[in-house]
Amino acid sequence: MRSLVLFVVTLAAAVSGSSEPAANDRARLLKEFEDRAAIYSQLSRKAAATLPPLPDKASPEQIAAHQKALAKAIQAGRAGAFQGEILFDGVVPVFLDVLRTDLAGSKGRDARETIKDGDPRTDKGPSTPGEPKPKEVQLVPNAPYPDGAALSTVPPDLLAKLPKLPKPLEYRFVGGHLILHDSEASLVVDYLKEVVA
Amino acid sequence: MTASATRKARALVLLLAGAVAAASAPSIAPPASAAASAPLSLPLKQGSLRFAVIGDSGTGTGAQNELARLLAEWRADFPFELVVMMGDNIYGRDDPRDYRQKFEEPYGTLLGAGVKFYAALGNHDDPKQRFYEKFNMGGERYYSFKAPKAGVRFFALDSNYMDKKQLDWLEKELQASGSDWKICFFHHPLYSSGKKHGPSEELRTVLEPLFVKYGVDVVLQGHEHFYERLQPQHDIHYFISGSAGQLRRGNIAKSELSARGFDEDLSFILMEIAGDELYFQTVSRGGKTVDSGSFKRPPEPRKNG
Repeated sequence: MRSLVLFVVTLAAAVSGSSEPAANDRARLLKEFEDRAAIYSQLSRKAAATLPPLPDKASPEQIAAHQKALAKAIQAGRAGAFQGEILFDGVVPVFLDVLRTDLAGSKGRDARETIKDGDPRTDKGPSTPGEPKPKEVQLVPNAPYPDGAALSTVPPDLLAKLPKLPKPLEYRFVGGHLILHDSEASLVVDYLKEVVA
Repeated sequence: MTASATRKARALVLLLAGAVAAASAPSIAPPASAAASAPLSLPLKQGSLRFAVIGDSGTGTGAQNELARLLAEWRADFPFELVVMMGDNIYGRDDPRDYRQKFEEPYGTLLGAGVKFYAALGNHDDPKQRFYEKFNMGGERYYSFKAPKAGVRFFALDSNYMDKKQLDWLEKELQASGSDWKICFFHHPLYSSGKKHGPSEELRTVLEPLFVKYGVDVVLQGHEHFYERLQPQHDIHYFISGSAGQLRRGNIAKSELSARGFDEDLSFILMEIAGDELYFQTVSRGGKTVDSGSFKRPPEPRKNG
């Protein structure tokens, strides 16, 4: 009996089309997403509070040491981080709806070109003698965003449509994947695979 | 041989080539003293603001060092007080040794002379650069500052991440600016004849209406690894200076939008603002003047685009 109920629920979801949740569902899912992002933001603030503040006129050594210590503190604070922790299953259709609408077809060509600009998978930048190329970005929550890897440009129009993020989170693209990037600790926080064709 | 003498000697060799290139650009009469010794075409007016523009500089290569050396040499005759950077300030790895190799060492002479650098972020820059003391960003990804003289305000933008917050900030800053001159600088060009990147039309859609509405006079950009001056758009003068560290040779496509392009060597721009007039001179790594001219800022209020 239980299996039958599950089957019916699944079938109903498939028939209704999971790509665009109803308006009230959408609001609820976005609220949950914002709450999850806020929890990360709070964790980041708490981690930063344990460190000496970084002056706005810092030396390269201070900047590097601060970023490293902040990343370490955040990584420790969410040691069990997993994919979908913030970009959880329920909200994925909401994101896909925005992303696929904005990035699809000829209308989305400019936006797709913008995203490719600075895509760390393809844009390795010029060579500096004696310096290895930046490492590949690993799609692993809590993994460091590699030193020297380019940051994709995010189209302004798309940014205006995606849910707002609290500091220090940002949307970035790696290949065809969307990531939540911690712009202060330089960490991959969460990701959504294959959103750009 | 002093730095100035070195530059002048090099300038003599390249004088003919420079004259040929300059002949095709809008020209202004060079001051007699400069014309006699070197092809400096900027007027050095009393009380003027003098600054340099570099972009995509931070490669840490010999090419970057050569151009940086030349920039320092030109300062002997054109004493500029600040440099604006169009992003990609530190390519690739950016640990402390890279800040030295890709910025502090190439521009050491200028830094030592008290020249202040103001950076915008490029797509190869870690946003943490905003805390770096010598980029004078005050810990902000976008910021504005008033130039020490001549009634000029600069607005540095982060074109990699143009969200609503930044756009709201820009509108507020432009609205509140009582400056005579408004100069925006950032990485991605709104207009470009580049074959590789081309114009960032999405960015143009959100930025240009603000530029027009609030009377921005000049927009300085990088990203394309060449020099280009565009035909004014809605009375706004657009420049691309993205070849202070590397070159994308032969990358400028023929375009009616282009007033002058140079993609044969690295280059920087020197600018001088005196009253309602802006003078510019673009110099290649070989010491050649590849473009020069001047324009007056249009009277207010500006027509809507």
